[in-house]
Formats: sequence, C-alpha cells, structure tokens
Amino acid sequence: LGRFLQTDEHKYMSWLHNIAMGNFLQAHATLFDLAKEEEKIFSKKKTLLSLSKLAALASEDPPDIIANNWEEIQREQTLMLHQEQLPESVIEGLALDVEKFRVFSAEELIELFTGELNVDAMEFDFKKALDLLEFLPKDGRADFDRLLMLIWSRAILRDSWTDLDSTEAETACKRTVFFRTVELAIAEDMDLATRLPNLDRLLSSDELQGLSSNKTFRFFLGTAFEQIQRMMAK
Amino acid sequence: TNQVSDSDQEKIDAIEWMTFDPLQRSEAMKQANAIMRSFLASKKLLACKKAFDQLPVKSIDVIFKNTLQQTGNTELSNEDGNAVKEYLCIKAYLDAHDAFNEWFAHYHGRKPTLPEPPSAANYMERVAHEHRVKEHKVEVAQWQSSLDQLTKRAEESLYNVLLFVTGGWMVDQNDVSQEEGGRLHQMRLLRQLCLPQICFLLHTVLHSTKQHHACLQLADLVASENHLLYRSFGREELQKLLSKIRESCLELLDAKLDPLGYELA
Repeated sequence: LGRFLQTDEHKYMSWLHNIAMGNFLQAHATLFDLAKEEEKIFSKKKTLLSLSKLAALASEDPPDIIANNWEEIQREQTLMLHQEQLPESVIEGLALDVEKFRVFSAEELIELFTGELNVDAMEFDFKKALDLLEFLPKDGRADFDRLLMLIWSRAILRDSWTDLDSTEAETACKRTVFFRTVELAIAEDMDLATRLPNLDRLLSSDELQGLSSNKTFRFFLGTAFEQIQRMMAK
Repeated sequence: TNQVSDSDQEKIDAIEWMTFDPLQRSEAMKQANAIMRSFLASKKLLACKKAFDQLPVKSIDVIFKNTLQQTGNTELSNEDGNAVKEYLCIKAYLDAHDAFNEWFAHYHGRKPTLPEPPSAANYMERVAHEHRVKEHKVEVAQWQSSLDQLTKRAEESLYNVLLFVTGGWMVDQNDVSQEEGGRLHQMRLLRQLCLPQICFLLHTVLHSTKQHHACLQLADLVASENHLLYRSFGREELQKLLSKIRESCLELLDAKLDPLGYELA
C-alpha cells in the first residue's frame, strides 16, 4: 500500500485531500517532493513549488519545521527565474516553445547564457552565469572549476582583443565585456578572490589556446588584470 | 459601501476647494490621496470613487507643468512622484472593481433564457417557437460575446492591480526621508486589505469562465519573489486561496487532466 501511495498520481490526490482537511504542512511536504521530482515541464515544476510555498505559509505549524525547505524553495525559485530570463535569441535558437519548456539544469543555463546562441551577450549574462555556479550540485567541485573557466574565457572571447587601441590601452580594456563583467561583479559584492581565476590559469584554459601566445592579447589582458587588482584592493 | 455619509461628503467637497489654485495641485493630490486611503481602509468604495472624481482628470499634467516651470525639467520631486503613483494605484483599484462588477452583473444577471416549448403544439405555435429558438441562439451569441469582452477587461484590470508597475501596488517609488502621518503604514495595511481581495475576485472571474490553468498560475503570481504578494496575505487568506485553487484542480481532474492541468503521464 505504501508504494501504491507513492506513485505520482496518488501523491497528486493526497495534497488536494490535505488542503481540504486543512493539513497544510502535509500538503506543503508532498507538493515540495513533487516539485523536486518534476523535471520535464518547467511551468508545472514552477506551480508545484509555488503551491508548496503557499501551503507552508498557510500552515499553522511552527516555522522551524518548514525553515529548511523554505530555503530550498527560494533557491529553486531563483534558479527558475534565471531560466525565465533566457534571452530571446537563445529560445529561438533552441526552437523552444516557452509554454512547453523543460527544466534546465544550472550547468545547461550557464552554457546557454554564455554560448553562441546568446548573440548579444553582455556583462549581465556573464554575471548571471557566475551566479548560476551557486546552483551546481554540491558534490561537483570539478564541474565548478571547469565552468568557472568556461564563463570567463567566453567573456574574454566576446571582444577582439588584438584589435584594441594600444595608445589608450587602459580605457580600451575597460570597454570589454570581460572587464565590465568584473565591474558588475564587484558592484554586486561578489567575492572575486574565489570567483576570478588568476591570469596564468585563464591563459592556460582550453578556450583561449588560440590566443594565449599572442603578445598583443597578453598585453591587453595583463593591463586589464592590473586594473582589476587595483579595484579589488580598494 | 454604497452610501456616503454627510461627514464623508464634507471631506470629498473639501478636495474641490484645494483644486482652485493649479499651483497647489500636488498638495491637493496628496490630500485627496490621504482621504481616499481612509475611505479604502473602511471599505467605502463609493466615497473613494467620488473623492477620486473631485480631482480634475488633468491633474497629473498640471503637476508636471508646475514642475517644469519651477525647475526647468519634468523630473518630479520624490514626494510628488510618490503621490502621482499612489493616485494611479487608487485609479487602478477603482477600475478593477468597476470592471469586476460589470462582469459579475452580466455573468449572473442577463443570460437569455431558453423559450419554453408550446404545450399543445399546433402548426402555427411550432413555427413561432422555432423562430423564438433561433432568436434565442442569436441572443446567446451576443451575450457570450459581451461576456468575453467584459471578462477580458475584468482580468486585465485586476491583473493590473496585482502586477502594478514600479515596485507594486501602493508601494512608493522613491524613498522619502520624512514619513507623513503614518502614510507608509497605511499603505502597507491597504496592501494587506486589498490585494488578497483583488486576487480572490480574479480567481472568481477565471474560475467561472473555466480558465482553470490561469487559476493555478495565480499561485505562481502570489508566491513570486518579484512581486512579493504573499507578504500581503494573512495565513487564513492563503488557506482560502489554496482552497479556491483546489477547486480549479478538481475541475481539471474532471477534464481528465492531472490536477495542474497537464496531460496525464
């Protein structure tokens, strides 16, 4: 019987019953389980989360029972908000119907925000990608480092560094997407000491292999890093 | 809600006195807002509407013009900006109630009834009856078409309150150092009083017109961290909202969908 009641269909029935009986804590718990399990349909997951959140607030039980889930609900909601903010060009590029969105993982979202489909990617997109790192599964340290490098390398590759004006190197660097992303991250209190790899590590990344031996590129990126270090020291 | 007491009428009339000097218009708007806040707080909708109508329609224009003359640009002071937004919030709220009431009256009151078939049917009576049935069909179609329009208008104006731009309904756009007479506190109470109610009205419209999926999306709206509507809901109101949404779920189940309106796996 236990297994019978565990099936999706019956879980669905059970929260409706819980609400009718005024058992909002149980409704909250079931809805939260269903929300976590839902990976196919974005809008369905979103509504399950919303209902679970409202049921938690409607519950008369002491808030500490709910506190743990509450944090996780806020986290899931934030992640879903990022997906809703995917730029139009990406959605068109993927030929997706917004109504039938599936749920994307944090890693997929990072890929999409920084990737080629995001034609007009700006500092906001790269900052968002950095924010999304917080949503990776906790056990995947390797993924974290790989994606961190990917985000910064791709930010760098958005500009043609070898064409920058060397007579005003400092100003020219500041106009790059890479630099503006750093500025935005600092403005929004991101801890860059742990979020920005040092110059040598960046130059050794796979994405930048084609450029890393180019002297002009190294000069400009070096200039950018000097300015960033001054900004971070403040 | 449908009667205006003498003392309330005096307050409403006082607004007119404040509008004589166009240069005082922003002050008049602030005073009118304060009077309307107190009417809304005691659910005196008609008095609030009358007060609203006392302030000339062009008042926002007048305030912008005054600012332009005084400062050389149209950037309103923080206080004036807040007052104009508050005035627009009240307008949106009154519009939403109007639209809902019109929808409600039409939905419940005026549906054409099917003509009774004649009891002893001779030929002439049968022909007359068939004619009446045809007319009835046309009337129903007209009724339905007006209903569709009224539904659309009611939905739009109710959503307009819930999704009010620049930070939400009855939320100041600008920080003002000095709080005037507990204004911010009153506005917060009005959010708690009015927003759940508007949400329930919207659910009524959506549920009655069988838009059950949209009913469920009300949960998304209320739970959203963008709009923070849930903070204006008390526990009992959230329980009521969930019960209403549950009713919509049951309708979806009847339609052989899952309770959230998706195809069963």
